[in-house]
Amino acid sequence: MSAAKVAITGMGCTSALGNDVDETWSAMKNGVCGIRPFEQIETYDLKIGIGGEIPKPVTAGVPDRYMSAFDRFTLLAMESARQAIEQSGLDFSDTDLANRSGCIIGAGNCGWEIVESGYRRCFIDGAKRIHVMAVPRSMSSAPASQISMWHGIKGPVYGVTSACASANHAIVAGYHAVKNGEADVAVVGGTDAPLIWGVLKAWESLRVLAPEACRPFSANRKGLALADGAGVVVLENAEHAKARGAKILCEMIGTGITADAGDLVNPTVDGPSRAMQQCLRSARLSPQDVDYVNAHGTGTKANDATETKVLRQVFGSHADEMAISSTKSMHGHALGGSGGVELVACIKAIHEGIIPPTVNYDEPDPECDLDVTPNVAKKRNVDVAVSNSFAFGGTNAVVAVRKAS
Amino acid sequence: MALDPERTIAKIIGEQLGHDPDKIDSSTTLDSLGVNSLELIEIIMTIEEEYDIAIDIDTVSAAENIKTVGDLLELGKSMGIGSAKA
Repeated sequence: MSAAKVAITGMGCTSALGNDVDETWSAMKNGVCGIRPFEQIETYDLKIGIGGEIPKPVTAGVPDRYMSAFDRFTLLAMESARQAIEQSGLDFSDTDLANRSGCIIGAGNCGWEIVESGYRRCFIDGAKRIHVMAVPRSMSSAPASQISMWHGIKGPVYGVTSACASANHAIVAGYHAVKNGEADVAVVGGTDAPLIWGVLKAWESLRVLAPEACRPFSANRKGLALADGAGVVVLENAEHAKARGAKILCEMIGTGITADAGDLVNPTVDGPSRAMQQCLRSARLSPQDVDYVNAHGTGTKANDATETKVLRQVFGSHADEMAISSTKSMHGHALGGSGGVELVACIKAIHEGIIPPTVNYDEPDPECDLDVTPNVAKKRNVDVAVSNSFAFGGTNAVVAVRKAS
Repeated sequence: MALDPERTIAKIIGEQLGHDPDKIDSSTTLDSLGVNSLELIEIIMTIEEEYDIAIDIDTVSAAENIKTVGDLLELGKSMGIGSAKA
């Protein structure tokens, strides 16, 4: 039996640009920057003052009565999954479908709100106990588990973690589950909610955060901007989707995963290059077939220069012909959630023929000499888009999507 | 009596990385001690704590510009360590 084709039949996201796909994409194609001075979080003694907060409160339809079981990273994933499942039209009350469906969600962190509030209660307020939900709320698999419980998904359900590549690793896992026939449907993506004192304080120590704006690929870039965010898509066996008359948003056609086995924080050219090459091979694409790359593009000195070398190595002269951008310049780096939001950006780029820009771009950098779509979106037909995620720890995951045939 | 800044920095590096502080002086290169970019930032933050000062340098700039213990000492001195106020 040949491997199944994999369709995407639903998508959802919550990002600093908006609480759903329409809001996020509308802001993205208009070059809106969602990274702003903090308004919602308690910053205490933090030096860093900017990040990507979700514009409106996210409840994901969870009644107040049950809210104590949810950390923010789970709610963002739940809301994104709710949007994606609704768009797909799937109803998991069908037992056969439920048993043949999975949910795999990446998270680079965990449910930090309940961890931090518990420690604050004990260490500062002198409390003798922390909340009973601390364990099930904080576990990295909570988003996958909660989505499965709320929607009745009963096949392969688990969390995935690989720092900033978590979403893409989860998407790859779901893609293979559908392709190999282990599931007909996989609800996949990633989430993280790092905008909380303890996580921000830790990132401050790394001294890689942008002080006033995230400027990927620009010569004056000074680092990344952290953000809350999640993105989830519904992957579905293409025949299954066609048989029920579902609208196919695009096809997922290839993936590549590799490791640098190098440094904890400094990227290599080799690991990401091999991931991109593996992705192209598995999708049976030649470099010339790729119209748009949504770059990892964090805005750090090291990532952007290295990623430019990777793109030149993998695509040769075509690197100058294709469109590239870092949408993190607008929605920030949501760590394990970024790949989910960026896949949504790729799908919308295919649908509308619009390349979302890299905003806050000031000055060309000879080490980043590619067309990174500076500041303003541009029109371009996109048949194939590729999304990169290259994480601390040297874990790389790349996915490719194609316009629905 | 408080150690002079060079000896203090040598002690911080020695304790953090398991080297003999007596074998570390201003001319010692960070490469010879096997210091990576994150370990360098941790050393800088420990110096900040020791002297109650703030050294405003990011990880990339630190790795690019600080090559020896003497460079660290100069950076600290520019922020006032070893003078009467620190």
